[in-house]
This record gives sequence, C-alpha cells and structure tokens, in this order.
Amino acid sequence: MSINLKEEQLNKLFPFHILIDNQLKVKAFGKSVSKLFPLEVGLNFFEHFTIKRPEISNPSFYEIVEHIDQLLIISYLKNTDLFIRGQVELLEDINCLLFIVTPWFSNVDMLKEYNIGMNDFAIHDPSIDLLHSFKAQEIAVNDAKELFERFQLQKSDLRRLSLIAEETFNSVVVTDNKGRVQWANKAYENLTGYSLAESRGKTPGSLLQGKDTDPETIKYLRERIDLGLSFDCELINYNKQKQPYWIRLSGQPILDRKGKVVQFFAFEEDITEKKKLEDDLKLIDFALRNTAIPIYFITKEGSISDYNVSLRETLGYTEEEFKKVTLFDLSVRHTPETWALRWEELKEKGNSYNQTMLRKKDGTLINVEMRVTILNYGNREIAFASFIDITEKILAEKRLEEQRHFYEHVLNNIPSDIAVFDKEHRYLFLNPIAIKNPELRKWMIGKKDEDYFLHTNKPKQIADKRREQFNEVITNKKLIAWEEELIRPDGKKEYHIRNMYPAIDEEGNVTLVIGYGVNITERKLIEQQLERKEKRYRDLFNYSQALICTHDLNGKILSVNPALCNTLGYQSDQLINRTLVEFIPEKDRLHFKPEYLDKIATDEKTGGVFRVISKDGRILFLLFQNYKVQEFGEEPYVIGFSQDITDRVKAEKELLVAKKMTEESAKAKEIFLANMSHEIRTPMHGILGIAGLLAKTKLDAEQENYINLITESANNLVVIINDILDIEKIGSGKFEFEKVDFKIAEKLSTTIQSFQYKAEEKGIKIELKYDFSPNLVVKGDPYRLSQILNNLMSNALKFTKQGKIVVKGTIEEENEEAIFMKFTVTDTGIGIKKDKLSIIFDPFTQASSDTTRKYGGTGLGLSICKNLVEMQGGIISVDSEEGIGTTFSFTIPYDCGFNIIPNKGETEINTDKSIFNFKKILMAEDVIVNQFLARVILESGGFKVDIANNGVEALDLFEKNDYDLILMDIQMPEMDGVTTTAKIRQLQDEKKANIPIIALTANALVGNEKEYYDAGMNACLTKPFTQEKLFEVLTKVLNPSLNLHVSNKRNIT
Amino acid sequence: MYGIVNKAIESLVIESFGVEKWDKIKESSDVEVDFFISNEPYDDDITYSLAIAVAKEMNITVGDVLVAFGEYWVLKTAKEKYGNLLEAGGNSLREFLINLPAFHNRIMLIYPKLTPPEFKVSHLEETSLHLHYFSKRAGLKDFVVGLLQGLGKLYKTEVKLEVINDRDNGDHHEIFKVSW
Ligand code: HEM
Repeated sequence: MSINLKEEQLNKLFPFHILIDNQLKVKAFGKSVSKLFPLEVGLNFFEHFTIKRPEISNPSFYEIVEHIDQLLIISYLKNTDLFIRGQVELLEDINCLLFIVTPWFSNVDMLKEYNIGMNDFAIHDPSIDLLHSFKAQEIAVNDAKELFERFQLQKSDLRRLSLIAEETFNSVVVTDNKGRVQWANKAYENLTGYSLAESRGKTPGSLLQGKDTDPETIKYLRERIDLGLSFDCELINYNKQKQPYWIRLSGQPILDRKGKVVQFFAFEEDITEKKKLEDDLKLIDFALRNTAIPIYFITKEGSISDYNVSLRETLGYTEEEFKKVTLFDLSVRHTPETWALRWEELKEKGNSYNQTMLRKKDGTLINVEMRVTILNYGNREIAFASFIDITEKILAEKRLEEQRHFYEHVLNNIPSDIAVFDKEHRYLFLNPIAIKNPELRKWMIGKKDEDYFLHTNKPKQIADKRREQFNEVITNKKLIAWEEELIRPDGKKEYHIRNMYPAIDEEGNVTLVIGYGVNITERKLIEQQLERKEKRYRDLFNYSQALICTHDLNGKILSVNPALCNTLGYQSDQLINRTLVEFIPEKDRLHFKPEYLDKIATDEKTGGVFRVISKDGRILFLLFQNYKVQEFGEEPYVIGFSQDITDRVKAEKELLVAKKMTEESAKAKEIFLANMSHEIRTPMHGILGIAGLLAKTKLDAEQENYINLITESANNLVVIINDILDIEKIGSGKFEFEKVDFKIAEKLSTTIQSFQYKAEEKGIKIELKYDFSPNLVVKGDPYRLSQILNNLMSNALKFTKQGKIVVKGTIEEENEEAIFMKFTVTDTGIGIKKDKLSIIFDPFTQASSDTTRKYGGTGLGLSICKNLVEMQGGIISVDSEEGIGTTFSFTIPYDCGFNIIPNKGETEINTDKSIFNFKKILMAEDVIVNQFLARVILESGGFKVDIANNGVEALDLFEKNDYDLILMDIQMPEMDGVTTTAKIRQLQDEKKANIPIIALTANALVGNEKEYYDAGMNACLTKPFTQEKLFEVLTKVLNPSLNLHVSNKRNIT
Repeated sequence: MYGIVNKAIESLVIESFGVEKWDKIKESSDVEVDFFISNEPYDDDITYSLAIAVAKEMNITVGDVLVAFGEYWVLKTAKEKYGNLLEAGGNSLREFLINLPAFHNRIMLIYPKLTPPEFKVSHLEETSLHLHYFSKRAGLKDFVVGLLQGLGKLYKTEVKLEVINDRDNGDHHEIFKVSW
C-alpha cells in the first residue's frame, strides 16, 4: 500500500524533515527546520551538513542510500554543537532522499537559544519529554547531592559533638532509662577515678555517693529518673580515692519517637571550686557588711541600693531612718542633675578617688576620702562607693600644718641661720637668716653646699669643710660645732659658729641633719680686740718701766712684771707665791699689815712709799699706788704700780735746793723789773714834772722847743717802759681786765682828743665816726680799749705825713648777752709792704728796720694790741696798700651794759679846784724830786702839803696832825706804803683810820692794785703822772659821792 | 504528591521567613520527614499539613498560602528548576494555556506515580479563554489561582481571573475564565 501524505501532513508529522534530490540539493524542508538553520531550496545539502555518524567522508546520493536503515547523526557545519538525528528514506518515484530528523538538545537552554517551543516538535516526538526527564533526573541528583551534603554535615556535627562530649572538661554520662551507665567521657573518668569499663552497667550513685551526700538529693534524683524527668541539683560525690567533691548534676531523658524514655544524658560539673568561691563570697559579703569602712551602692537615680552598718552608723542614722536616705541627703554637692553627669564621667573614667564632705543626720559635715566605681554586671550598672572618714586626720593635719607653720615661723625668726639637710647633705630647709634672698633660698632646696658654692662662686674649701663635718655627724651621730671664716662681698670678714647635729630615729638611724649657725662676727671682733687689748696690757705689763705686781689680800705675790724683777734683781718665779712682807726691811714689817694690807682691803686704794730690799741687799724706795680689784666670781686681789724713786729721793734734797734757787731767781727778776720800772719812772716823773713846770715859765721860742723835745723824749721812754712791762705781764700771764660799764662813744672821743694837738701840728685831720647812740653802754675794760686805740693812733700819726686819720666804731653784732664792737683806724700814711703784713703783729717787729731808724718805737705796740684784743676774745687785722694807707680793724665782744651809768668816771668829773682850797695833804715820799714836784703841783691847786720821808715819819705826822688826804708812795725806806696804810686803817681814831689814801707807785710791773686796795687804799696813781691826773684823782677821792676806787693806771700819755 | 511540591513549600517558607520559622512550622505540622526528595511521592497529607501549619504560623488563611504557593511554583520552582522547559510551553500566556492540558500529561510520563490535574480549554478568544480544571484532589482551587497569576507575571501579562464553576458550589469541576 502506498500512503500519500500532503505537505501539510508531512509538516505536522515531521516538522524537521528535509528533502534532497539526487544532486544532493535541498528540494524541500519541514516548518521547524528554519529555526535551526537558514536553509534554502536548491542549496547543496552537504555543503552545509555532514553526516557525523556513520562517518561518510564523501557522501554521494548512492552512498547515503546505502545507510537508509541506520540512525544518522547529522551535524551542521556552521554550528558543530547542533546535531540532528533521524533516518533517511529513498523516495524512488521522485528519486529524492527524505531525511526524517529531529534536533538533539543536550540541555534545556538550547530550546531558548533556538526559540524552539513544544509546538515545534511533532507531538509524537519525545524530545522535549526527554529534556523534561533529564531535568527531573538532574533535580533528583541535586536532591541526592543536597541530602548527602546535609548528611555529611550532620555526620561531622555529630562527630564534633561526640568529640566535645568526649573531650569536655565536664563529665558526661549516658545511662539507660534505669540510670545505669552506658557511656561516659574522659572527664568523667578523671573526675571519678573510675574507668568507663568499671562504671558501665552500674548507677553512678552506687559508685560515687558517700556519707556526706545529702540523702534528700539522692531521693530527688531517684524520683526524677523513675518519672523520666530531667533533674538538676548539687551534691557531694566521692571519687575512687574517696575524696569528696562537689558537682552540679543536670540530666535530661532521651526520648524515642513515641516519647518513651530510652536513655538519660547527664552532665556533671565539678563545682568544688565554685562552692569554695561561693563560701568565699559569703565571707566577703560578711566582711563587707561588717567592716568598719563604710560601703554602699548607689543607683544611677541616686538611691542607695545597699550599704553596710558602718555607713549607717558613721552617718548617725537608725536602720529605719536610713531606708529613706538617698545620695542627695548625704552628698553636699550632688543634685540629681549633677549626679547624672557625674555618672557618665565615672563610667568613662572607671573610678574616681577624691576628697569630699558628707552630711550626717544631725547636719554636721565630715571630711571623707571617697572612692566611687561604676560596676557593670549583667545588664546592671551600679556605683560602688566607700570612704574613709578623714575628718580627724584633716584636723590633725591642720594642727600639724599650723604647728609646722609655727615652727617655721620660729625657725625663720631665730636670729641664727638654720638649715636642715637630708642624709645626702641636700638642703631641706633654710631660714631667711641663712639665705636672705627668697629666690635663692627656694633654689637651694634639694641642692648641696657644693652646688651653692659653685652657684655663688664661693670658696670651695668651705663647702669641703662642711661636707667633712657633715660626714662626721653622719658617722658619729653626734653634734659638731666649728667656726667658719667667710669673706663678705664687701671684703669684710664674717665669723660664724656652725653646729650640726643629727636627728636620730627610733632605730638609731640618722634621718636628718640640722645645722644652725650664729654670726659671731661682732663677738669675734670684740674677742680679737680684747685679745689685742690684752696683748697690749700684757705688753704694757711686760715692757712697762712701771713696776707692776699683783698680790692677794694677804700680800702673797701673784704676778710680777719684768721691770719689777729687774729692779729687785730676782727672777719672777723667785717672787711669785712669796709674800710682800718678806721683801720689806725688818723695822717696816710691823706697819705692813695695819698700814697697808688692812688699808687697801677697806679703802680699795692706797699709795705711798715702800722701802724694799733688793736681791743684792740695797734698800730701794718704791713710790706706789695700789688698787684692790674685785672681779665678779673671783677672789679680790691687788694690783700695784710703783716706781723706783730711790734716785729721786736722793736727788730730792738737791732738787729742793735748786727749786728754791729758781724761785728766788724768778722773784729776783720780778723785783729787778719792778725796781727798774720804779727806778726809771721815778726820775722820768721828775723830768716830766720839772719840764712841765719849766714850760709854764716864760720862755723864748728856742727854750720852748727844747722843753718840748725833753717832754717828748721822756714820754717816749715812758711808753717804752710801759710796753716792756706789758709784754712781760702778758708773758707771765699776769694780765687782768676790768669789767665795768662805760660809754663807748665817750671813750672814743676822749682817746682821740689826746692826739688832736699833735695831729694839728702835723697838719693831719682826725675824724671820728660811729653809728651807735652816744649813750651806748657796754661792760668791759675801757682802759685797755683806749690803750689799743692809743697804740694804733700813735702809729697812724707816726706814719702819716698828710691826709687824715679816720677812727670808726660800729656794732658788728648784737645779741642779748654780748655786743660785738668793731673799731677801725684808717690812715693815709706810707702803708705796709704786702710781705710784711703777716708779721706785723709779731713782737719786736716793725715793717722794716728802716722804720725803726726813721720812726722809732720798740716794735712792741702792735703785738701788745693783738694780745689785748685776743685776750678779750676779739680779733685784730690789718689791711694796707703801700703809698695809699693802712687800716687796722679789731673787734671786741663786750657784755651788754646798763644804759644808764651812774655819774662817775673821769669824763664826768669837773675838776673843781675850789674843793682843794685849804685841804691838808700828807705826802709820804722818799724821793726829793718827787717831794718837790708834788708840793709845787698841790700847792698850785690850793692844797696845804706836809711831806714825810717814809712810812714811819708819815705815821708820826698823821698822829700829830689832821689831814684830809694822804698821798702814799709804796716803796719807801723804813716802812713802805702798804704797811703804813694798814697801820693807819687800824688806828683807834675812826676818823683818822678812815682817811682817804691814794697810792703812788712807780711799780707798774708788780702793780698789784688789789694789794693796795686790800691794804685799805682808796685810789692809786702810777708815776709819772700829770698834774691833771693828780687833780682828777684828788677830786674823785675828796668828793665823797664818787667811787673811791680810782686809778690812773694805763692812762699815762 | 511528589517531594518537589513539599520542597517548594519549604523553599517558599525558608526564603520568606527563615530556617527557624520553617523548623517551627514543620514541628507544628507534625511532619516527621526531615528531607523531601523531589522525585519521590509523599502522602498528600504531608503537603496539606504543611500548608495548614504555614497558615497557622503566619496567621493567614490556607487559601492565601495556596495562592502564594501557586505564584511561587511558577515563578520560582518551575522557572528555576525547569528553566526554559516551562517557557517551551508557549511564547505567550495564551499559547501556554492552550498547551497546558498536554503539559501534565507529559509530566506524568516523567513522574510515573503522578496524580496530575487535567486542564481543558474552551471558549478560546483572542484575549480570554475558559480553563477547566479537573482534579482528583480537593481544595487546590486557590493553588490554581496562584499558578495562573504567576503565569501572568511570567509572561508579563495582566491577568483577570473569574471562577465560573466551583466544586465548592456543587459544580463538577472548576472553570476559570482567564482574561488578559
Ligand atoms: C514544569 C512545570 C510543572 C511541573 C514539573 C508540574 C509538576 C506537578 C506535579 C509533580 C504535581 C503533583 C501531582 C502528584 O504528584 O500527584 C502537579 C500538580 C498540579 N499541577 Fe503541575 N506542574 C507544572 C506546571 C503546572 C502548571 C503551569 C500548572 C498550571 C495551571 C499546573 C497545575 C497543577 C495543578 C492544579 C496540580 C494539582 C494536582 C491536582 O489537582 O490533583 N502545573 N504538578
């Protein structure tokens, strides 16, 4: 039969068929073919395909026909992965080959690659189902792999687990449902000491439980096992060696699928250590609860979660009260806010350790050293706090600090330098005396002296010395003191006494060394001074020519100086410890005790002359002055100074004679001068008197001129004598000054007046100027003032040829007690050479030797002036220019006088000759010329005059006659004037005894007016005197209202 | 049902909720099988128990579980394990559904102990058809819903389902009107 298939049918049944002709060219193909290859009708089939199996290398139409009954696997040349499989059939009628094939997909993904779906296959084609099948297979394989892996995993897990069970430190036991051991691990064997073999088939209890195993626990275990329930308990077991140990036993029944207990799995943990730890913990808990240290726990919110008794009691609360207490009741600084912050801070830091204060129940505060730690256990955070109450400690520290301050204050104020060292000689403390500079002082701490000396550049030897001393203190543990000499920056030496002593602890070790020093410079200097003084005294003692010894109050010699030894001829040891009395001559010894030893004991000092016997038997006279010396705490002794006056005693007699002679010669000189003065004055008195009388007679011009020359010559001679006497007086210190009130102005003008006449003669003008009141009164010596002025005036007049002389008086200074008067005498004379000005006041000096020749004079005037001025406390000076003139200035301090002067003094006196009339005068005068002169003058004044040649005659005449006045010459033969006056004053007749007596004397030198007044004379006139002077004195004396003491002394011109 | 189904449920749960959840579900399902082998047949009860346990554990209805499982079956199990083989069922949802009746017939060959469902297509239109579902098992209607929705997603086609016949309503079999 032959079946004809329509193309559509063929396509449906064989969607992948390919028809090729005998030329092997594609004639037609199925609907699904083009999904696999880009096939076109007419293409040469084998140009694109090859038959892979069976291998046909060169396929031809007929060769292919040969393979008709075979499976053909055809591959596409362009894609060797793609195969089609099927068979070929020869369609003879059309001579074509029909390939009935289907693609062979080795995996599902190829479907997608070629976009081939289920519908591309013929329904009968199982290709896709094959793929499905593969897939299912693949899945199954994967499942198997997965299962295997899981199995492997479980297996290794199991192995691991069993290993763990085997190797774990805790013992693991597996029992049957009755509790009999089936398996146990190594730990079990180790723990119990029983091997698995020994244990198998037995209950662990039967092996391990013992006397201390709690029966209750055993009962519990039995029950649980019987009920097939898990169990968990702690119990004591005993190992094979019967040693007990604690275990924690937990067990679990192992059930089968039906829930039947088949086994027990038990796990034993050795908790012996844990038990111990628990006990320890209990102990610690007990300790913490009972410790004296306050402990508590604070929550983050500030409540106190637990605390111990000590805390509660320290803070003074009862248990009940403390339940309500929170941190904020205790803390002085925490509020809930600050506590929260603090908490975080503590968490970060771990813990804190600080000092703070806590408030007690009664409100008082205590100081505490607080330690707070945040603990973190489980999920809980809690602050653990504990503290030590240091209130007392702080108080004690404060007290200690105060004490330290106190000591430091004391140390700082002790006026000696103090330093404290450690054992290595480093400074620990220094007071300000030791080091003034506070910075340096600070620097010094921790340093050694070596550092200090290096730092301050001080000599190293001192530091070395100190170190040496320090080492000695350390080794000997004893105080050491030494003296130090330091050089101050200003180069002066300083001395310090240094002491170092060790502070020693209970074990006898040196802990500190304390050094203190005192500046003993002053003491040292005094000591040195004393030493020097002592040496001086010793030297004095040793080298003095004075004889010095000391002895006790019994006269035992304590010391002698070399001079004394020499004088006595003994060695000092031959004298010391012997008594003085041994060296005194026999006959003086009796007196020694009462007159010397006793006397000096009571009077403390005595002097006199000892007679002493020297070694060679001579008797020596020692003039001594001895003193008792009493020094505190010592026996009193006597120090004696003596002088060998043996020679002097011998010489004394001769000396006495010599003295007498000297005295006598001095006296002789005085007498000589007095005599000379007297002897010259007396004739001068005569010459001048007679010349005066002669001048009053009628004379021619030539005679008058001679008279004038005689008078002037005589006057000059008087001046010379007066000057010489003055100088002598000055030299022998016999000068005296009056102290009377007088008017300066008046004195000046009277003094000048006496030069007026002479000046007019020379054609020279004299001017007087003064700037004070004419009534100014001063107290002083008016006579000396006019003597000075007279000297200066006569000089001025002498050296001035023309011009004028100006005398000026001014008050230089005035105060309550004194008035300084300055006087100047200025002339327009020849002047003085500059080089002579300085010597002008020296005695016996004139400006030049020419001067003496030309102008005459003794050259004593200015020297006398100078002495007079200076002796009154003033000064004198000269200023001169040669050819122009000279000015002498002098100042004399006067006492302030009374302004009103009683009406007295020569200027006040009007010589009223009327009162002279018929007055009877007795004149005692031995020189005839003087008798004559006085008589002429007196009688010219209206007096009646009787003359006595001496005192005896005068007394005789006075007794017989009445007189109004006596002029009494001092030097008279038979009886002198003083004696005569004394006798008169002693007369019974009161009237006679009171008769005014005026002394007349030529004795200006001895001129002791006082002597005359003492003898009772009323006035005194020095010869030669002028008529005016005589009358003036007579007026005064005869006028009872006037002062009777009148003198013309120094007023001779 | 073949182990592949239970395995798929396992995968769905593990992927969505984790191993622990799966262990718990399995525990509560009282299913004692530790490992499902894909080409081994298991008692249907196991599959049902698992579905019920999932519903219980997740606190959803068994219907919801089946819908989710249906989707997962297509999009994950079928696609991953069978890959292009599923897509070989057709180039479009329409084509796939037309081929669907033959689909399990072929599978039946592969899994000889399969109790496959039977599908028929009627009222074929350009954008809809009636899918008839015949099954020896009860209560898997929602599974089919999930499967169809999954297919819609696979072919990126929006699907509308309408249950025309329902065994629950005494009908002979379920008829879904599938529109796209
Ligand atoms: C590669 C894809 C597929 C495979 C491998 C497959 C596999 C299976 C298997 C093994 C069963 C279990 C039946 C038993 O063991 O007795 C089953 C059930 C089922 N399959 Fe699929 N299937 C696939 C795709 C589909 C698709 C696309 C649908 C779409 C509607 C579907 C719907 C069903 C239904 C409704 C059941 C339930 C069985 C019953 O109602 O009795 N299957 N399938």
